[in-house]
Amino acid sequence: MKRKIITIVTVVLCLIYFSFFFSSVSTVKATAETNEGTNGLNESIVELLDELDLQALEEYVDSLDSFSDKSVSERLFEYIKGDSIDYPNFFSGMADVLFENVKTLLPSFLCIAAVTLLCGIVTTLKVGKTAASSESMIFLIAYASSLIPVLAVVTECFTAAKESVSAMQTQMQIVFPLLLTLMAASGGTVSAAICRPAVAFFSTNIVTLISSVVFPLTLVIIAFSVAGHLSKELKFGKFAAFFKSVNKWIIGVSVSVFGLFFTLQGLTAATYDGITRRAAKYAIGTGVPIVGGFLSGGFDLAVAGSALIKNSLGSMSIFMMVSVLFEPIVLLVSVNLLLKLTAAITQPFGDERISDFLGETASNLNYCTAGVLFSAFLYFLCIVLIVGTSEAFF
Amino acid sequence: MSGYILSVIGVVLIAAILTAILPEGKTNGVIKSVMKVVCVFTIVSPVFEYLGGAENINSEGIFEKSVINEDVSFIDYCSKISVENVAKELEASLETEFSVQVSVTLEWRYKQETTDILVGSYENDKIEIVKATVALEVEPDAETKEKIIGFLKETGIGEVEIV
Repeated sequence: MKRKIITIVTVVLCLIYFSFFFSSVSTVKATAETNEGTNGLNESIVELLDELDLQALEEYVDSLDSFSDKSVSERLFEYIKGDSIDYPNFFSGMADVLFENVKTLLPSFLCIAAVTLLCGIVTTLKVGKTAASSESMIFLIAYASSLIPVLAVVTECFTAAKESVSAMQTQMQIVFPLLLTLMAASGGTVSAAICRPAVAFFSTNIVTLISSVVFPLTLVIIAFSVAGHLSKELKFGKFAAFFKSVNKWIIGVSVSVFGLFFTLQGLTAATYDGITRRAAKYAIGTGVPIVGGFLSGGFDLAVAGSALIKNSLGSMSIFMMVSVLFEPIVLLVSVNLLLKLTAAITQPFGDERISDFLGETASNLNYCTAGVLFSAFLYFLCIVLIVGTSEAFF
Repeated sequence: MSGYILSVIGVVLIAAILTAILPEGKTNGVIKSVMKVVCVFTIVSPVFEYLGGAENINSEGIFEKSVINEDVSFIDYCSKISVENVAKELEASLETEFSVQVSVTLEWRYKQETTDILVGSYENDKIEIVKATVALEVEPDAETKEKIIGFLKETGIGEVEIV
């Protein structure tokens, strides 16, 4: 019952966040009514893009294959104009990566299944006085033969996961200063002041927590699983359970506390900035164009241009995030499914310890997947909040 | 942290291999017991370090403070454009209100404000227009000058100068 409630809440939260994203994506189109206004806005956007320091982002984007065909300024301007994204090609590319991964990994798992089944058959056929000692020797050989490809695959998974998290961290450290700059330039000074420490904390501390604690603890859990199945005398099940619990608490507490707190603060700040701006506009009714230090309610091209560039940069950041996230996730999912499939195949005929080991390794790898997805989710949340706050300003 | 992880993995795997390949014998049980004790002590070693007064558990920089620096020159550029827009609007307002041809130049600065939101106080910079210099094509009479100065001061500008 508890799990159902948690699942429903998670789905509702995701729908709310996606609704923010799609509503803000729709605002990347220019809203000026006349051609003259649109041209003026476009010119302002081009000037702002020239003024904005995009060098670090340009260098990073050049290193990504899928984004190196255009400059960052050109790409941002295209998103603002509302040029459509080529969804069919994007999704077909994703499907190609999925099948290629499965094809590459399949021989290793077939080898594991074959060795395990063979050893299972030989053990079944054992006869004579040396049956007991030969059984342990056969198990050792089968286990070692299965372990080598599994460890190679697991190492590849961890490397891919760590590189993905590291790539996301690099993106955050490039993109967040730009987004906060554009947020402050578009009138969201309070929002920028609130988001600044939160995104700094997330991009440095939380991501380091994932790569320095969660991933290594997952390796330890897998090592306990290897040792526990190799030797019946060594029992590390409870230690493994303890480290699993630590991982769950780290991920759970981080995503709920940071996510909820930052969402609440960000939305409140955006409302504050928006109300202040509307109060200034309302004062125009008395013939006063400026109230205090705030600027008039007339259409400010710099503010509007900054807001549009911020939204399109947010969209581009999400595409960049997906580009570094997709392959590792596909690899982790493929390995998880293949491990479970191999465990299922070897269970009827092979040694129970090997199939249990394969099944446990598949479950333990989920912490790796969770770490990557958790980093991506919080990154996505930060972008959506920063982009979505501009809705409250106008 | 990485040192601890490597030591745990190494000790556990070596213990597992040893217990698996050791031949049967009298010392078998003793060796296995010793390996188990070594494994347990290696895994719980951080607890002993903490109790022993280890000062720094932040070996991986998990609690390192970091700062995000915005592009100040871009914000200044946008602020300058916004202030220029305001100057143009002021010129239009003055021309409509007083039927005079004017050119308005605004001096501005950033004013730091503290905003309390939920559980935190946050400092942010707002644009503050400090002085407005109004250049008139035709010298108006004193009454009109006073009205112009009064009009501009009502908008919140600190100092107004007519040239």
